[in-house]
Amino acid sequence: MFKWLHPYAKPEKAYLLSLSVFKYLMPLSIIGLFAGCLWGLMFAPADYQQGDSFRIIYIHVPTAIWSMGVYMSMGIAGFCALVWQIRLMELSVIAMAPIGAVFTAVALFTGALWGKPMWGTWWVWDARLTSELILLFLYLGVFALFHSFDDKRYGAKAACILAVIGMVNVPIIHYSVEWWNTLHQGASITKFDKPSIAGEMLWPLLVNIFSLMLFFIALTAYRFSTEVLRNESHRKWVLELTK
Amino acid sequence: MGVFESFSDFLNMNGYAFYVWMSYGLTLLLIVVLLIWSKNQRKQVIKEIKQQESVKQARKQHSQSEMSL
Amino acid sequence: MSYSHFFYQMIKRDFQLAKTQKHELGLPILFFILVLILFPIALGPEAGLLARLAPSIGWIAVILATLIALPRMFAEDYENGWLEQLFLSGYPGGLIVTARVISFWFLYCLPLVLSSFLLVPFFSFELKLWWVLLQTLLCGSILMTCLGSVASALLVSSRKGSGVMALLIVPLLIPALIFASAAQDAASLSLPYTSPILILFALAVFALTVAPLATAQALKLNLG
Repeated sequence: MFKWLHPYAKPEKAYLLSLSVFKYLMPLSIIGLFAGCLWGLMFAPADYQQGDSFRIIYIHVPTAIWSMGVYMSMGIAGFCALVWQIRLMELSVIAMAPIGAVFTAVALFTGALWGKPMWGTWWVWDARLTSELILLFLYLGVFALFHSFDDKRYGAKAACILAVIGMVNVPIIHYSVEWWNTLHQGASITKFDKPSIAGEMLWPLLVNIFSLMLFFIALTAYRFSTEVLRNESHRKWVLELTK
Repeated sequence: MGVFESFSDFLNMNGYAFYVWMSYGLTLLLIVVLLIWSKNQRKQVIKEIKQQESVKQARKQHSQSEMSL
Repeated sequence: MSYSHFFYQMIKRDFQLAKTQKHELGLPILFFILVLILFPIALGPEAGLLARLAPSIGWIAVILATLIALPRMFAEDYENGWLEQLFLSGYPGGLIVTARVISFWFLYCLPLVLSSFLLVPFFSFELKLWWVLLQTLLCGSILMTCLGSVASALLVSSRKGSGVMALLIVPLLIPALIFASAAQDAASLSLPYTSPILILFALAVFALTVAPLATAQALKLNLG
């Protein structure tokens, strides 16, 4: 298997591969997201308790799931980059950070927009919202660290170290926040905590979760290829490509 | 129109129109901004590479012309 | 030089250097006191309210004051080349960093933690509760120094780093704040409060084990 993987550690091969990944997955993911949203908005039955406002779930839940997933993959990529000194892995960390930040931001404000009609307030200091907010700041930290260096190469390595530290800390933060929330228990929020969901409502959600993953992969591949170009800007193959 | 009786019903979302459309709209906006930003970054990088290459070419020509003098 | 002797010499050097620049040591404490003064002025001088908020205010002020002090952890030694010499000397990077973390904690954090005693007269804070605050702050400040050492090492060669420092450290400190306030709440209801403090202590020990390695890695990166 590693023999098969080996050529892709070459920047040129990695660049071409990531571009073709982008080319195939991006339209697929957009079709998927469009279909999932349309299905969720028009054909899924309304929730008997929450009415039509529950349709926000079709973007809130996928982005919330992948906001965590993106951080995990960022941390793993950063770890591999530091341990095996793989330059391309560092670039992928930088490629992922803004996408994760956008997912987290989307999950946060859709949560607020869902909370307003359901709980009556825009924001509650509930465990999941709080840890999501902290996650947003972790992403912004990685991003800001990368941009606080003039030399992008140092910036990428530093961002990797921070991503790994963040990955170690994410479980600690998550469980401590959950524990903190049970200490200061709010009143009636838990009622909506785990909505058991009917099949017809679930399918579009699964479609959206899957297509958002494809979207994440495709966009990462695109941003990664840009970073490869920037990083290899003095190489011959780059010059030939951009001519 | 799926589970809704009419298109205006669909737009109205049984009174939750603001929340539902606001969240979908903002999501779309943020994702489009992210896409455009990524695209621009790529353009910027390619432009920089071209610039650096043309500077290099100009330098080469310059030194060659000095050599011939 | 054996490792232990080297370690001792490193700490001794830091203390001797600190003797020559006493005013720098005082600045974070002054800042800490200023933050403490701001709260009664903003909230009004009601004794009950202030006493209830005192531990949280103490923690926030310590975090802010540590943030002021942290950029100095490696900056000077990086600029005058001493750090590069140390890393070229062949001693393990983790050892160098641990020595610096310990001396930094004694020079900057311990005075801050002790000066949280000011909460007792200023905020009519109970002495018994201050004792709990002291314990949480002792553990928490170790954690803060460790996380801060990573952040200041990452940013040591960056010109625009000072604003980023807070963004890197504060989200990672939230668990510590949660456990500290849990201990404080339990103590104010005269319930047993040792378990959150033990968790804090465990976090501090964990950070003290792992953070020097990450810091050494970050410094090596910045030294090129």
